Amino acid sequence: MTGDELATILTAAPDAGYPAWARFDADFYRVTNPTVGIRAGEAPEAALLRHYIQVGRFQGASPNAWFDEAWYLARHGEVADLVADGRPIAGSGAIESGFEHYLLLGHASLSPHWLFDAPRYREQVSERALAAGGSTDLYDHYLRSGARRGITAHALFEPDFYREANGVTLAALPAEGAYGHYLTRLWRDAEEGWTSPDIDLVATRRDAACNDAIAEASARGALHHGLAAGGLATFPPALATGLRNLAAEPSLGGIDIVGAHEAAGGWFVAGWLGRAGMGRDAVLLAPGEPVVIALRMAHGTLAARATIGLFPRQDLEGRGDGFLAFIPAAEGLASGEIRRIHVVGEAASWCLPMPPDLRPTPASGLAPALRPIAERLLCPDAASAIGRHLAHPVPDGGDTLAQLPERVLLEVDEAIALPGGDLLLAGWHLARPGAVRAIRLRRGWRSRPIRLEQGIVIERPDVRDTVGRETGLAKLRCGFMLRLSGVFRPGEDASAGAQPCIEIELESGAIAHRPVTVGSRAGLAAIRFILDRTDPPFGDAATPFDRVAGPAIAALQASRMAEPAHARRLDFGQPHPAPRVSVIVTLYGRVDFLDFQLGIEAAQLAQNRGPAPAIERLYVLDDPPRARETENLAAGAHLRFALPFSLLSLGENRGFAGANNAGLGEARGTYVCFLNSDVFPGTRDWALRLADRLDADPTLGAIGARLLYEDGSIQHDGMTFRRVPRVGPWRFPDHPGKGLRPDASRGAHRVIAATGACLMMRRDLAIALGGFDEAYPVGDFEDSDLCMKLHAMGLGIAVDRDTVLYHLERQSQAGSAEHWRMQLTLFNAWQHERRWQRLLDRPLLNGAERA
Amino acid sequence: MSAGAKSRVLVAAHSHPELTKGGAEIAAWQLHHAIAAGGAWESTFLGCGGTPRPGPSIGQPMGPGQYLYTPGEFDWFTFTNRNERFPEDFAGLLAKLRPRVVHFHHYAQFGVEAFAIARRAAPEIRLVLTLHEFQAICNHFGQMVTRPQRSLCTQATLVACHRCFPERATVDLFLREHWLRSFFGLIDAFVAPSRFLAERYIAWGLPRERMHVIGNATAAAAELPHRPRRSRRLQLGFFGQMSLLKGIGVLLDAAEDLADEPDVVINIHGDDRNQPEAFREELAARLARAPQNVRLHGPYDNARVDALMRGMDAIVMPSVWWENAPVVIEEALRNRVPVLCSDIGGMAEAVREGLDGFHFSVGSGTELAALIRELAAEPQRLAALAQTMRTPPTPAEVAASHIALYERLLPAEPLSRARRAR
Repeated sequence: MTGDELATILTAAPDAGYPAWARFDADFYRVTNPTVGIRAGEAPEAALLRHYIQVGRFQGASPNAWFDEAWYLARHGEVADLVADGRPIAGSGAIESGFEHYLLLGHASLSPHWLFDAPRYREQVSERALAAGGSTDLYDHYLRSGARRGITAHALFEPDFYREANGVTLAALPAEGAYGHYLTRLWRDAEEGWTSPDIDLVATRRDAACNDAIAEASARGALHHGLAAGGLATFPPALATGLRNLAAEPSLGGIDIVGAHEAAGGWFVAGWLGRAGMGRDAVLLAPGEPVVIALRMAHGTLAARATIGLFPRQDLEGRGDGFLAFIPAAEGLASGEIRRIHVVGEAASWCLPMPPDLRPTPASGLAPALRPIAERLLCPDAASAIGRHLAHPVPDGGDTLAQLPERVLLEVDEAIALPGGDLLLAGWHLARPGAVRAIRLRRGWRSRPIRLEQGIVIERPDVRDTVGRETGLAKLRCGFMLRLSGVFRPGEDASAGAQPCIEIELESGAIAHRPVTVGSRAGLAAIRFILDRTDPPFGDAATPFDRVAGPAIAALQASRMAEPAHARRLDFGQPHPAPRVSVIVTLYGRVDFLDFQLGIEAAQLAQNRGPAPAIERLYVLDDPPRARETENLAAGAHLRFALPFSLLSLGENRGFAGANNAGLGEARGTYVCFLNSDVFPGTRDWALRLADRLDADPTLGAIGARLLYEDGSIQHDGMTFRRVPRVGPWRFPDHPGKGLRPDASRGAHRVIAATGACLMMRRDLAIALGGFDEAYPVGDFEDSDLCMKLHAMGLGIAVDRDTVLYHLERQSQAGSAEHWRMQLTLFNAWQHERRWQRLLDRPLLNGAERA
Repeated sequence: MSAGAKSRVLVAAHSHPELTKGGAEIAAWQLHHAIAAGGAWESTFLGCGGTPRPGPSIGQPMGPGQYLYTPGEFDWFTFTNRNERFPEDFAGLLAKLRPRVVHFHHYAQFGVEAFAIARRAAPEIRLVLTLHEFQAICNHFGQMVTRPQRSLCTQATLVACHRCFPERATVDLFLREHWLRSFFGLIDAFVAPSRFLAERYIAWGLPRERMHVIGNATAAAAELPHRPRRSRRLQLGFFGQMSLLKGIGVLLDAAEDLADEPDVVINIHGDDRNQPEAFREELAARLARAPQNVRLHGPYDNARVDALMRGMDAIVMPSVWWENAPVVIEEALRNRVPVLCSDIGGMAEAVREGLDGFHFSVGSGTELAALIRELAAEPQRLAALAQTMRTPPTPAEVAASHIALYERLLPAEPLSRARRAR
């Protein structure tokens, strides 16, 4: 390849279509080639690249950390021959380096680096995933997504193990995951992490050949030495001598007691560490020395920084010391059948085989068994830390609050498992101020702090006036409702598996548990409960919705709507074969409105004396208990009015949006008109007139009608928004002119939003937008949400003031006295504002003034 | 128009005179007979009533030439007919009879949807509706008196109606009105038996150009031998339902005021059997202590009304509601008997003050008593009315007015031409 060709590829933009491993890394090159000179006035990056093109590639230098030129040539002898001969390949002229070979041919099948095993990776990733990712080849896929997802691409590099054993947080990982983290630290800092429980890093480092290689800089670390610099030609299991296979090592110590303790959050291990190869008085582990302990189990390895203490054991006669360790565990690798245990210190390490007859001690048995040992530990810090863990009481499903040395009350009135794995808790808590150090929720291995003040604080005069008075702990604001994330796995049945419990720890160190029974409330019942408990204080409605009610209800609603609608369709008469407009009416409560609507429509149509208009009428009954009554009513209406229509009876209540969307799914018209059941025709041919308006102005996304109250005053003439500070910081739909007599203005008038009580739009557009958003549980804001979506597309909204209908806005809906219904409006407002704040701030929206 | 191609009208009434004696069904029946007798048009009568039987809802239990619809479930608030047989049976009747006009004398029992059914069944049929009271405007039996006080109401508004019917939400009252008006939009011509009623409906929103005032057809006066008067006392007659709204109380108030007047006799030819029990008890108590001048005769057979009226010096009509076009007034006038009536509504229109009779303030027994006392003192004032009293139109004249209306509604093209085009 010519230098220019190569330079073009190496400096291409990240999205230019070249693989991630083909980018020149100037930093890497400078560190790995410290002697490269940079001319005065020359950009360092350009100088380093020029050096690689003109010099480095001929001398075995690598262009970046992802490709190891020396290893590639050593591993693939036939390539080395090609390069040595300067033979041309694939019509690209002579290749001067292994990298060029990999670029042109090798990427299809060869491994480019000593830590990336191409055949192994191919087994891990499906063809479909490879094709879907937009990556150019296998290694590109690994660097762009596989590594970040923790896929193992080499027998001696386990990404999850690497993170845990070396204390690397997820946030600290680069785009190339643990793999990138390891390699970057290796070449930049010459620091080597522990990559696999099958490697005894410490022992390997004591290997003379390895140390020499690292000292001579022919290897950057023990693993590099073992796999590459040592001239290794094959992958494990035929490991080179520099790497010790721990599984084959003789025992260096023993395990006596091992057991998991969920409440303490980790494993206890007691046993002994041998002195083999060390002096009789050698200190095995220095006090405070960082020690990693790895529990090698059948399905993975738990590795973590451990608390460990040593104690003298006469029985060993100087061959070693006893130890007791606590290894914190995270869920996932927390349990399983233990095969062996590695103890890795700064200067020494041990591999302890699990005796075949040793059974793990149950949690409740650990304290009696281990407390005598803990008392003997030489290091007082370790003794107290391990003692504290051991003292942690084991929740047994019982309520032990009463056993605390002082009175602490905590009651959970309701625990609701939220879809997605969160848990919502509502209850109250009374204690002497300063008595409680921490409250936690514990479930199995998982424990998370509960900070009551981070939820909603609720006034509970009932509690204050009863138990509060009796106990002298009277406090009004003792109620709480909070949301704990990730208590259950997504999709997990909350009633199965471990029961959650609340753990209270006093300043004195005493700990008690109170089991939490997850209730059966779900769906609308759960939403209703949360809203009933949400009573935002004046001026701070945002907090409870931001923290608890908002996300909780959003999750419940999404899950409620995820269930597909069950509907039964009945056709009364022959539906119009090719409707221009589909009128969709949802029925709830006053199903008799169907009779009035159809009757008035029929009377008006009969006055026209013309052919039947191309209108399809779809009624959606969102009131399942009234299906039979409504179907009878519909049958009668059809006999009397002879207007064809269809009735869709939903199997469960879906709310305004869900019901309308069910109708939308059945609609066939060019246009759909969402119509409330309490809206009655005024202007004759109202539906066709609205459709004409949309036909005439393609910049309109939707059109509504002028709606009048029964007394002839304006009910709706377009909507805008206004804030109601008394209620919350959000905007609410506002109907300008409402209650006034209609003015003389005529024609299609641009508005910010139009009511869903009568709203027409193109059907394909409605479907593309998903209809009304079902994230709004019951009946408001979904219409303005839809209008905002249209605005965001650059489409306008209008109200046709020449088309008048009557809207008998139900008092029962408008001014519901029920607290939860009012709060539901706040939830909707909260959600609407979060979505559309930016658009709503604009003074002008597609021809409509905010006013 | 050749013989055999006579136009037909279907006269439809919400009851049947053989079953009930309401003014509307009698007027419809009289009109049907008068048209049939005239010979220019053919007429078929469709009444309502009877006991439901399985199967078709329209039959001929009363013999040929007329039909009876047996009603089922009916919503009296919205005048909605929920009998599911009716649409089919009514359309079937229209297809069979092929009338050019359907003339409804009410929409009760049929339901206002009947207009749409007729329009659907045969779009060329013209629809005529005679308005007999204010049912569409007023949910209080169409009487436009308030509930429960029964004071006179001049305009139905949602607010006022809701005050009378607090159990009905204003939106429901609106729906009722919007509903009725929507179906009224299908009517080609409205007939009001009085100008007063016509104006009330025009004010309510019916188009003036479709409103026609034609009096009800009433029977011709019976041929009776002349009998000389045997009493020198002033004989006054009350005819009709002894109900609160017919002003029986006003009449008894006047009778008490006239207890000392020896030359006046108040004859009550009335029926209280349809009145609420409490009212009947109250009425019986009042009648028991009524002065000597009150004579209670009880119910009468309508066939004898002419004979009874001719024995009177005047008929009293003290109704405390508006009335429309009371048959009693037409019956009095055809017998050349003047009428003393309340000074409102259909009564005041039908009885011209000083020409056909005299008015007194509605509800005022005192004023009625004073009027009677004057007339007893000056009987020549009543006698003089014979010179000015109007003569009610004969049934044939009423029928002719209706036929003229029907023919104005029909397309200018003769029927035969329309048939050829088909």
